[in-house]
Amino acid sequence: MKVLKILFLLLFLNSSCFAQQWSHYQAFFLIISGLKQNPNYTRIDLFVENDSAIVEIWTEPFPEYIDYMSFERPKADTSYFVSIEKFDKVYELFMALSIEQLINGMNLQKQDLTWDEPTKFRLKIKVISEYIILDVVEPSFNTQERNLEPFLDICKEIICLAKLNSKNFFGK
Amino acid sequence: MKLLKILLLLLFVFVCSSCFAQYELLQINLEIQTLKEENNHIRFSLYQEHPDTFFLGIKRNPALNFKDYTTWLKRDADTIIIISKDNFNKIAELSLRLSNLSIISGMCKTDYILINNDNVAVNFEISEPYSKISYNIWNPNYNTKERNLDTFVDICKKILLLAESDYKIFFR
Repeated sequence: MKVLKILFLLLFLNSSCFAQQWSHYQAFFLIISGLKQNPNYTRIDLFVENDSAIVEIWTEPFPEYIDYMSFERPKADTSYFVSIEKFDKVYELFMALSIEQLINGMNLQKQDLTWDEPTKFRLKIKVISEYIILDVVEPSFNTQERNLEPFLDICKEIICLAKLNSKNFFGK
Repeated sequence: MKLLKILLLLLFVFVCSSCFAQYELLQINLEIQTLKEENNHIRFSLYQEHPDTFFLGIKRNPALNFKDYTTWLKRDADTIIIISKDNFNKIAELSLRLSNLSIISGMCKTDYILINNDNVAVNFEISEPYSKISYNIWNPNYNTKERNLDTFVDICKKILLLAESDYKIFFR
């Protein structure tokens, strides 16, 4: 009976490790362009490799086909490790985000665009070879009406992980 | 009293119609890529251009624009079909039901990756001038239920039906 219990315990441990492993197939990419400052572009990648979460930052854009074709990316300006818990926090924030709410907050009535060159935010979550991308123009404009608070929270969390000042990105 | 009733009815109809006219700037794009020789890259775009006129544009081999990923209005087309507002709204409302939570948990199941010529990559976008949500899914017809892609496949089928294209050409 004891052997059986131990076997069950081992099986449980094994399956929980497996579940943990599955949950780290995701990678986050936050690309901010059209900033009214120098550099006007920032890209932050957050992913897990060998049980450690890695943050990589670029301030120079590189061609999108590199991502698209899964080619090797140019060397990051800055790269360092962060704890897995911090990665998991971003993941949890993303999972709590309701796309339905985002769509409901979309501006579906005619309105003039008031920016010559707006700041564009692109948040991408990639799981193996599939992904979801959220593209948002000027998220700090009418944030509440556009239901963009959860989206901004994720961006702020990633910017904070990149040790950058979120005030520089949201103009507040 | 009768006049009041008629007035109330008219008001009700007016309120209802204004509720449904909320997708003025919404555009839905479905892009399908396969490794087959024919129809290997095709895009369907659903949008409204004039008041109460809805279009479905079909473009074969659309150009990939890596330079400006924020080119959201993909309205170049080889064939344009006029569709009803009802059909457009039905697809728009189905698109609202897509959930990031269930789709991402489905993405972790790797068994959708087939190594043969039947691979299909589907890019589905819901956009308005300020924001865009994109889903990139592989072989949605494969293990659809387990990967929580029922609604996603339903939307693809409805768009292909409106475009008078055979679903089976793309998804076997």
